[in-house]
Amino acid sequence: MKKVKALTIILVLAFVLALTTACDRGGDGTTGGTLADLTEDEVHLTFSTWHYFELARYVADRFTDRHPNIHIDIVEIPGTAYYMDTLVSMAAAQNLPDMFGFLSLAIPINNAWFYDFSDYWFADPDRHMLLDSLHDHVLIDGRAMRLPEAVLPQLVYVDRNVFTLLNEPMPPFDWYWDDMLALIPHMTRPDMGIFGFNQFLGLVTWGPVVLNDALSEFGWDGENYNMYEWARYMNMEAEFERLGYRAVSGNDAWEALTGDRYMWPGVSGRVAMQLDAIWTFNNLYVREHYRERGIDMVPYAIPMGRDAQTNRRPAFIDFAGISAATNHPREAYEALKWMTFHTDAWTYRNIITPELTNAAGDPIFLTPNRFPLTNCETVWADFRNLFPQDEPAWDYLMRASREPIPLGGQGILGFADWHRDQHAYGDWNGVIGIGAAIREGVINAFDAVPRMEETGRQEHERAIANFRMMFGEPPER
Amino acid sequence: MAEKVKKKRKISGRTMRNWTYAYIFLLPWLVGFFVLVLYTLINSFRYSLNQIRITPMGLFFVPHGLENYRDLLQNTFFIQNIVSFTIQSVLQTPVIVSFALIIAILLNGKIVARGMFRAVFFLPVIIATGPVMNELAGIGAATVPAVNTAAIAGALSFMPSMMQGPIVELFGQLIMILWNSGIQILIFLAALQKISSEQYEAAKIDGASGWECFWKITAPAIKPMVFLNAIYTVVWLATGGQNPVITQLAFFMHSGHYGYGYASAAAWLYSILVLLLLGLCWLLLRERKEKLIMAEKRLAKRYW
Repeated sequence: MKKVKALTIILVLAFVLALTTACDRGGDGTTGGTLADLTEDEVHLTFSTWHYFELARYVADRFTDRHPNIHIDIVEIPGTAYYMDTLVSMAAAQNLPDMFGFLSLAIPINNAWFYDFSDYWFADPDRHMLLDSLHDHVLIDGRAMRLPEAVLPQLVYVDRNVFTLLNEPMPPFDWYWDDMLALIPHMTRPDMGIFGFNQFLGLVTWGPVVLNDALSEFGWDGENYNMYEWARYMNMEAEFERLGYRAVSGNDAWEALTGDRYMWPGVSGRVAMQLDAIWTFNNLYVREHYRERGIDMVPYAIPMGRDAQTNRRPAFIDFAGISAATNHPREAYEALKWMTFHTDAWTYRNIITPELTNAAGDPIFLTPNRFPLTNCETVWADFRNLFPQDEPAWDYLMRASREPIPLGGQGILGFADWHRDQHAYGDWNGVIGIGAAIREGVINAFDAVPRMEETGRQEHERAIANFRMMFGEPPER
Repeated sequence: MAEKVKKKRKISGRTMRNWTYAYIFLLPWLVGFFVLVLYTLINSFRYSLNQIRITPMGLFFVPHGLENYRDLLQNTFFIQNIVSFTIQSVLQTPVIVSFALIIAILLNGKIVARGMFRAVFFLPVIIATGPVMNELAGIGAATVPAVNTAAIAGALSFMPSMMQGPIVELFGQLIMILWNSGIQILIFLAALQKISSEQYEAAKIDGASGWECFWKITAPAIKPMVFLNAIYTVVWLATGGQNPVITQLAFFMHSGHYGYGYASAAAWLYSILVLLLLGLCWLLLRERKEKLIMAEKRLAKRYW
């Protein structure tokens, strides 16, 4: 009995030691000052999120294990539909949580919600735990104001069954962008009712990033939009649809082919490639129901351009910030770090993720949706074990997911207004929305580029000016 | 003078007592009005003249004059939505009121299981409201499959889209429109039941047909209810969750770009439009005093 007890103690100690030593704090250790000590008073902080409350509560409790006087209460606002509206109402009632995840950058910026934690950030050696590609996105106009909370990669699902059916070899995992484009017409077989691709997000969003190392969609380089590639892929998408390479539901031909007019092409077993996001695997493709229907989707990383200098790939990235009204900014910063990218918190996430169940007792994650935000290799190795071991595609996907970059709505100041006013609802020769105008042939995408680039630049400058009106000029660092 | 004062005192003694009772009964409404309506209205107007930042430390006002109103009048989507709403209301209100009247007349007749039918027509008011209504509309339960809306849209393709849309929607959402008639049916039923059956009997004795009875007895008796129902229907349509203007107001309110000030200005402009529509109802359906006087004179000529 004593031996068992001793062994248990040794194992626990080994685990704690592993937690603290498996990944060092990385980086060059340089700091821009010193971090003040945390208070020893009892502190209750609030953290709002829109999903996976059990996971958030578990991670928050582990923080309290480490800092027994600091408690994090999870504010549950279910679903994305009314999440930001609820936060706005809470802010209006002066009740904004101390830490809050957000879906839109424009609302917290325009309403001055963010606490500027630059002093903590630049003094903190832990910041080197965060994936390198995300460091720039912590800063807004030179001030540290938010931390990435979740990375949900975008990827290409290649249906092995379709490739087997057509007796075609599967593409290599380290494929290139033009390989993927070539496969689209090649895999389209109208006589067999097979389509080259279907997409949720795809060519237009990805092309400018993976070909030209842009910092975000629409060819964003940090100051301007460079929309040549965007125009090229807008036209290409329209052309692919016209030529029948893309599966489109909701029409007579689709009903005749599948027997279900509104069946989503991604689960029809008739698309060679589905350009999509990570959650579709956990929600659909890993489930027995879809495997029995003959869908065998293999996850491929978004292919890079042959001349790309980086491994930047677009991903859905959620961020969280600290309320400007918090009474405990130092503690909130430490807690937010824990709730977002801290290596030790990710170790705990890897432990609890397979054990989380829904109300019916079924596991929430057969495979995780959120990829680690830390550089720590041990965390990534543990994370890999949460995916099917017999599928090497996951190994490559994980290696390729170390330089995620956010889409415009989370990455670029002024993006939301510009996108709404020009892209979504702009008047283009009498047609509302640039996508519709290009599809209807009233404008060529290349002709739209000058106006799009100019209005995008103006909106960004306006947003920066608005931001500086509230926070002042960017600090010298 | 003394007589005047005496008279005044006498009246004030009685009226004071009456007023006291009246105001005691009115008090809940007055408190509600001043606290929940008037204060909110004044605040909302104040908001509309400002750009408002909803900071975690409280609302921060930046005086903006009439800029919000000016911007709104240049906001194509807002204008498009309120024009669509106006056309929709003008088209749907007569359909809803007429349908409600027909059903009320049928339900007022002597039919088997009358109570059950009355309940059936009122049920949508209870169960199909707000989100339920939106869900039902979302799965196509609000449409009549036999109505080919695409063909109607094709036939009306010569119209601008903001006019064509509401007309097509009228046909596309026929079931929904009929579901919106529950309260109006109830109001008409109450009015129909107040008409004395003796009037109908007297008219029948004089040889009046059912058609004549309707126009000479029923229609004049329920005309105030037609006005009331038209008002109710316009307000119902104006504030319903399916109205895109309401959705847009909520969007303005919670948007990072627009905010409370812009949303308040939009709400005021929209309220003015709704008041104009109510005014139109009043102009068309009010009881005209001259007409009443003329009718009285005609009666006087006939009998005296």
